[in-house]
Amino acid sequence: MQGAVDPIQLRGARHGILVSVREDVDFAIALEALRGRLAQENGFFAGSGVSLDLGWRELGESEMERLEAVLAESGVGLLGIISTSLTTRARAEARGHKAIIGRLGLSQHQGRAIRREGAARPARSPVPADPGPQAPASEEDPTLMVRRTLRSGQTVRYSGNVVIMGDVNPGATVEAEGDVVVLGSLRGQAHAGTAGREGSVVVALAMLATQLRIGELIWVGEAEGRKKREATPMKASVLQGQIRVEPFSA
Amino acid sequence: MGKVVVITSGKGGVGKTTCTANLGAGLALGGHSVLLVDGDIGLRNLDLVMGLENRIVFDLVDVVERKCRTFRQALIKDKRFENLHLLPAAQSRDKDAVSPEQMQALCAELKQAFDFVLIDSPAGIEHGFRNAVAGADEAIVVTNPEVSAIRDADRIVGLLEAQEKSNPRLVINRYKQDMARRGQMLSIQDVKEILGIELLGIVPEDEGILSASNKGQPAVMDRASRAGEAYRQIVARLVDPSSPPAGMPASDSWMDRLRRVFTVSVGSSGAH
Repeated sequence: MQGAVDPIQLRGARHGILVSVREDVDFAIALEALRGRLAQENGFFAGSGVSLDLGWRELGESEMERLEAVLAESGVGLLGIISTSLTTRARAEARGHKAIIGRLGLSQHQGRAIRREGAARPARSPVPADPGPQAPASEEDPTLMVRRTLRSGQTVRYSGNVVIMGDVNPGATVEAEGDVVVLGSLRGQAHAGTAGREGSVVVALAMLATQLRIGELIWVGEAEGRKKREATPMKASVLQGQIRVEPFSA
Repeated sequence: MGKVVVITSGKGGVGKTTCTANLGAGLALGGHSVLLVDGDIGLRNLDLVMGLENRIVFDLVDVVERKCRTFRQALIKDKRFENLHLLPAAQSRDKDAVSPEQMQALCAELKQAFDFVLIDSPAGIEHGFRNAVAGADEAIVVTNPEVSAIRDADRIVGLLEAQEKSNPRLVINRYKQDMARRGQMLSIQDVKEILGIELLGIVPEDEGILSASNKGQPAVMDRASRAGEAYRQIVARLVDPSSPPAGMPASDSWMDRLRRVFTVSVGSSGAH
């Protein structure tokens, strides 16, 4: 169960109100929540402006229009859009809004990120210069804990490691700059080391994925004939420029 | 006060409308007052399956737009059951004619008057789906033991959870036990593993469903129908959650089949 996640968060920022919109919530639902939230504030924001943090959400033209309509309806001005998505920023600018790059979306702020004491900020590292044996860089990364099953059409994207306490169903996607750990069945898409870190791994209690990605590499497997009952914990990692999937042992 | 249950699936053609008609008729058989709402504006079907097409005067959009004085004016009373009513969809309008807020208000009003309000959702995850689920207290997800239907059902369950329509329940329709046993069809276990929601019942593939739909006579009323029997069990479970899920195929030996042939002939002679 998803529980009560509020797709919208309002915060006071230096230049007015910052409205964060969770990226992992269906756009229509997020939009309704925003409308409700602004209505709830009873015209408090009317005439003033807000900045919108959209995280990595990619907005289409019509979605941008609907967003503008909701703000206009509540009489709220748009100071600017913060997003990590190039598409969203370009689209916002094309429509005459100010757009700046932002690093973390709301799902990451609220996602019970665990940061180890004194850990450095997550390495946004490009492809490592030395392709030799790599230390598991993920140990220093923040980790996003997701305590539910990801269903078809749902996506979790994070700039550190991701742990799913549930299944990843077919049609669902997990993308992490670090490692992906699934404490359940992995049947959907998992992409570890999205920033090109090939030292990243994918571990699942039941590895039933038909495709895995680590860094730039893609592994395509056969799920045919494999059932959860027979599946064992497996780990996918990069060995000699190829993804290998092997039984997991600590 | 009654409750509003939406019947939905994501994918089209899995049997939402048939399921709505049968659960409605089954609940009415059990003495509950029931309203069926056709949520598929622009593609109305539920009236056909119920055999009530020729009685439509007003429809759901007329009610929402206050073209009739009260919603009661738009209701069609079933030919067979005193306590079963239908609120038909508009055929000449489209889904945008109604908003989720209007549906919420309407459902709140309807459930004052009936024990059960069953909403037949359109296929898809767009405006029509959001309308259909807006006012619902509970959801039933209908699927077939087939990968595409299950993928879509999973998407629907995710959307329902995001809207906090918690604990949707599952009906697996058109199940063919012999095919599943030969491994040519997904088994119940496979479906349950992926969707991970409570199973309300399994409805076996039954040719009789098609002719029943064409005649506007829900199969649940036919004592001889296997699918009808499954629907009766699902109804029992809807009313009393402690009764077992319908159609759990424990065994289907030739003895069982023989026994069924026997009950069929007895049942059908009793029904006429």
